[in-house]
Amino acid sequence: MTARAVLASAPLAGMAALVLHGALVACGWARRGRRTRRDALLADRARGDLLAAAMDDAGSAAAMQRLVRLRRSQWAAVEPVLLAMLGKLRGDARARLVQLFVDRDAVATAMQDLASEHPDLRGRAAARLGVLGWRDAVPALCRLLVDADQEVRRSAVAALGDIGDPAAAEPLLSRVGRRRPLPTLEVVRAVARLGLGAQPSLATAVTHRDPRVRATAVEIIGVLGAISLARPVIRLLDHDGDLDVRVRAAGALGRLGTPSGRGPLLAATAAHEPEHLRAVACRALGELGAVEAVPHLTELLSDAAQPVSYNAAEALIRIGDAGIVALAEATEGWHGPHAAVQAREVLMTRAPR
Amino acid sequence: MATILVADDDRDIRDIVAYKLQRVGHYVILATNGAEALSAARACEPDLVVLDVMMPGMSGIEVCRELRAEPRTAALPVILLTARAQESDVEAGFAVGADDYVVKPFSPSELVSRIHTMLGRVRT
Repeated sequence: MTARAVLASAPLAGMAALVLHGALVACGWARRGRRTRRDALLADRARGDLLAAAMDDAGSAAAMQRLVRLRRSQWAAVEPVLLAMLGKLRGDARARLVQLFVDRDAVATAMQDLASEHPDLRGRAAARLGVLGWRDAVPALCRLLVDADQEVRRSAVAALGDIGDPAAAEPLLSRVGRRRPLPTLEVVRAVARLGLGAQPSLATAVTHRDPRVRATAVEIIGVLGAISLARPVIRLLDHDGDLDVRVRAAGALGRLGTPSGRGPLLAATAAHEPEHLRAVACRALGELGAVEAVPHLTELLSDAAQPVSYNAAEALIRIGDAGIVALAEATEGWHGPHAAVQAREVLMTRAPR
Repeated sequence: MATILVADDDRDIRDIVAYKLQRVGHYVILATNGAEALSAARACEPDLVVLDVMMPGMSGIEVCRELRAEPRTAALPVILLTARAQESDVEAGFAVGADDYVVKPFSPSELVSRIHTMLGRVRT
């Protein structure tokens, strides 16, 4: 074949390759579509058995047996529906559906998959054991907190939160800020779900040498409402060398709502303190409903730092009648033009009607 | 036997509640959103309504308010289904006249007990 003939046939060959590629893609779509429809049909057929298995009635044992005997491909279609239902139930109905996983050896398989060499399998197994609330998985899930794969680490964090065993608090907190760090927000959510049983670990974490651990711990204390830890939070607000820790301590004191937080929060609004801390302390005073802070917050309406004056105005609204009266007076210009503008704006947009 | 209207946009919840209620002998009407729930309540005059708080379009709170505003449905017992994170909605629910609430995730047996208590109270 001459060079000219080769050149002439090249566009044709290119077109043929394109057509072939398109046909393969279309086949893939069609196959996926068929599989999705088949799975939906299988899940629909099994739905009645799932409901019967979850409830304690005459048909539940037979339904459970049919579900246990499902072929693997059928189970794969039914399992997502089952996991979704588990998240919506508690009590006996939930316990029966968890038993179904045990009877199918799905729990044992998931436990094995936690050590799989495939990150996808490890992540899915962690998520599944979390939804099941499988406490025996906690030590293995804690080991996954240092997994090389970030998604697996995230799945492990979420699963530990789902399971809610306070034993996970210390491993979760100690991984913040290390190599292969855990996402702070997800750790906050997970540890907060462990409940007040996490308090001993939090009490230790607020004295940790790493400021990221202290900041995370103090945030969780606020979310949990762990008022027994108000004193260490006040200590962090007063003396910590890290600004982020102090800011989070101020926010936590607002959420805790203990009167002991009022004095330290007022001190944190002082002019020499960093602007961000002052603004958060103002907001926290509002959350506390600190009526005694009204005169001080009113003065702050004329503060040169906009976040401080704005948060002071918002705090006065939150405090209620006494704060609203102070804002109304400020609109008359008693505390200067800046305070009047700030008070007017907040009263127009945020005051209860 | 009572006629109970269950309104929730989540199919799993509708199926679970309906299955449990039918098993104990009740007749169940299902609605997938607030507007449907309201028209079903007007048309079928159920003995009790179970409303999800968070539904697309019209929320359970709004449906409850509408029910209370109409003389025909004003006395209908209403139980709200609310997610844990929406517990502040419970206050709003009581403010518009809801009689009780159940927090999701929920126990079907507990919900049925609450329904029976409520029906018993209404009948006496």
